[in-house]
Amino acid sequence: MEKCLIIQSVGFASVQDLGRTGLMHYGISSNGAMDTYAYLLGNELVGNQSPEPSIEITAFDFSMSSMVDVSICITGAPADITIDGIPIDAGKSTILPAGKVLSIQKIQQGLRVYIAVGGGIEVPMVLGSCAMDTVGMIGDRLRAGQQLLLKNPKIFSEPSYGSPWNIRVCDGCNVDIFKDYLEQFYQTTYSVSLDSNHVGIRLEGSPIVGHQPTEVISRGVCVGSIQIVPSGNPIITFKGRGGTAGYPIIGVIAAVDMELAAQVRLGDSVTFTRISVEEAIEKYRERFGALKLAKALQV
Amino acid sequence: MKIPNNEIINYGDSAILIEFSKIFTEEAWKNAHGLARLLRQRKIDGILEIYPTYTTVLITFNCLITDHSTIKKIVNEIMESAADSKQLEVEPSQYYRFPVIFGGQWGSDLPFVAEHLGLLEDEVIKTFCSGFRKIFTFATFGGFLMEGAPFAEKIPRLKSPHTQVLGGYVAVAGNQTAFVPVTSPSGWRTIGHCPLKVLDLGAMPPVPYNPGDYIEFFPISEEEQSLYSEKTIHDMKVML
Repeated sequence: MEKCLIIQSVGFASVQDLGRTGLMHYGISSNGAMDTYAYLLGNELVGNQSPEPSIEITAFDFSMSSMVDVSICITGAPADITIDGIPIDAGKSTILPAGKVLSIQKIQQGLRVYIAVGGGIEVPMVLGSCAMDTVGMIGDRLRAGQQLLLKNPKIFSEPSYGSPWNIRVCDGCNVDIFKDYLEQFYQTTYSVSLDSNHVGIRLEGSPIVGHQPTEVISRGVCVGSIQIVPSGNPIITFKGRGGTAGYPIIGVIAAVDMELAAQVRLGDSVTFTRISVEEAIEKYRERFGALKLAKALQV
Repeated sequence: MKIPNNEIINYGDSAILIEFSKIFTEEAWKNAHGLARLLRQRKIDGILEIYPTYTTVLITFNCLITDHSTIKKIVNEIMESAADSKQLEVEPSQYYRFPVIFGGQWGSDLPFVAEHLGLLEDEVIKTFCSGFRKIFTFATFGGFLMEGAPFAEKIPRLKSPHTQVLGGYVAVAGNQTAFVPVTSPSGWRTIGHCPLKVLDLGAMPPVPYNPGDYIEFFPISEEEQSLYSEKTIHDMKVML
């Protein structure tokens, strides 16, 4: 199946990028997105590593759907934005689910609205750009029914807040101790105990009993380590933890999901999903790589 | 000299643990702390923490900047080049004496420890205070840990940790002794309290001692507490 956007209704819209800069001495104008800031902001927020072709909507109502789930971000002039009639926010990465209709109506105050698309749109490039040039007769406005091929429809999913939480976990340094208990751990729905805080998030559920040893020589404990204490319940050691501990560690919360652990409320339900270190790093880089300041976390 | 045996263990997606031994040995401890010192000198991009404890070094990193295999390679290089030299050796030791009020409200688990060992509380205190013992690692906020003796038997940790113990506490678990200068949760058996001013947050580092230094605990009465609460750890340094 082709991965396409399908234009449902359109007044005046086109696919644009930064344009053909540097060709002025040939008499060729740059064209491209009229509002460069709104265009770049949308691409940035949707998580694109470079500016990708986006849809520029001018003045009139517009609607489209997608054959696959895809991340989008709306920027530019204020407008009424809905997905299947439900209002969504501008300036925020949002998933447009397959088959649902994104609608931009009543563009106000300004003239143009941009839809940045996770991974971008596959359109012909002429002289290094997809920008419409009405003088050079490059590109064309979009028509109802037209399909736009998605380059690499990435889902930059916002973490799913709210109980029941599902948090991804990598194996910890004592996973061997828990070989026979992993199934139990990953199938249990835990509840967040009332004496949880930034030091430790204590969980209650089907206790893990019978593993040996129940204590190991103290060693450094990293943020998000899930210790199994002798009562059999897990404690997520969090950022305020002491440096060392000697309870065995069944797993460590994937860095990409650490924020979920940071947000759980007392009494909430929590389940865990086991993922590989490779997948965890890939997900982290995908999500945090879009945050330029994430690299500030270094010594 | 051969390369000290070590196992490099993945520890989630943003950390590795270098383990020199699964049980405490002085040799493994020396290697862990030596490796940590050499790693720190390298100033490796993306590394956040290098934390040697008893027999392991925890290395945490920003996985946007570096990854497990890069760090493993550097660790192996260091171990190989250090194998022929004395680079892994530790610095000369300092000595300090720590006054401790034992039992009562200051050491609520002393009765448990005494009963577990089949000793009187006074005998526990006497055994605990029998000479200088080595700091093996930093722990909670400038606190330290010791390993090995003084007791004949291991002390079990609490089934469910204390949610808060007053800063300055001295606690035991397994074969270990802890001094913790700050109020904190603890799964260990608290046996006493040291009234000294140990932390100085205006100084860097905030405590003067290091792993490899020696501490001797000695008992004081509640009446002597005010005498020592005026003192800082620097007053308790001794020359041997």
